[in-house]
Amino acid sequence: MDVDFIFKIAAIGIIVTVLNLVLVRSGREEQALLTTLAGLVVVLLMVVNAVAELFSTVKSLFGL
Amino acid sequence: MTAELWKIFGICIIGAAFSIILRQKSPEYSYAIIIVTSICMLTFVLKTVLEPIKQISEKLSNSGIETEYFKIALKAVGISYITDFIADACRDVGQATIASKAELVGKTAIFLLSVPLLMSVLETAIGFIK
Repeated sequence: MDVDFIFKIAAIGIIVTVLNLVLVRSGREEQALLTTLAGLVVVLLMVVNAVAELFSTVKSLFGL
Repeated sequence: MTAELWKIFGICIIGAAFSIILRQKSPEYSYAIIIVTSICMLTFVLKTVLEPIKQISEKLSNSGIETEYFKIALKAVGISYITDFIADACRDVGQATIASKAELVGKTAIFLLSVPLLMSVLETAIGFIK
């Protein structure tokens, strides 16, 4: 587990938010929605991987 | 541990700052950052604790004392860590109901884990009575 994960998620969040704002201002609501969705899926995959890593650490440490 | 204390506190501050930055416009990323930050610190703490726990269990198994009870206690601690983490994550997102249900599941798991201990105590007590 590394600090890089936090920076990555924050970067994705900021980029997607800015893209969303720009696309909404230029009148492309559908593309803005799709951008938000794609960013969310990527971030959720990262979070799920991190949670799985934590669970395996706890399992191996406490003999669950 | 003391040397890395400042690093960990730095990670805390960074996670909190990013979370606040993203909270206004896109709260879902803010929650993701909170979860990943807590995983980061929890993993660090568990890896620090790994070595002492191994030493204690080796010492116990070498001394010939029954290590079954120690293992059960260790498992209960692990379940508590996971349950606490999940319940806090749910509560952060605003789902207090799911959080309390997760805690209920954790409590039940620990109860089931400690049933053999309870049984042995009961057997001893019944033996005294008879």
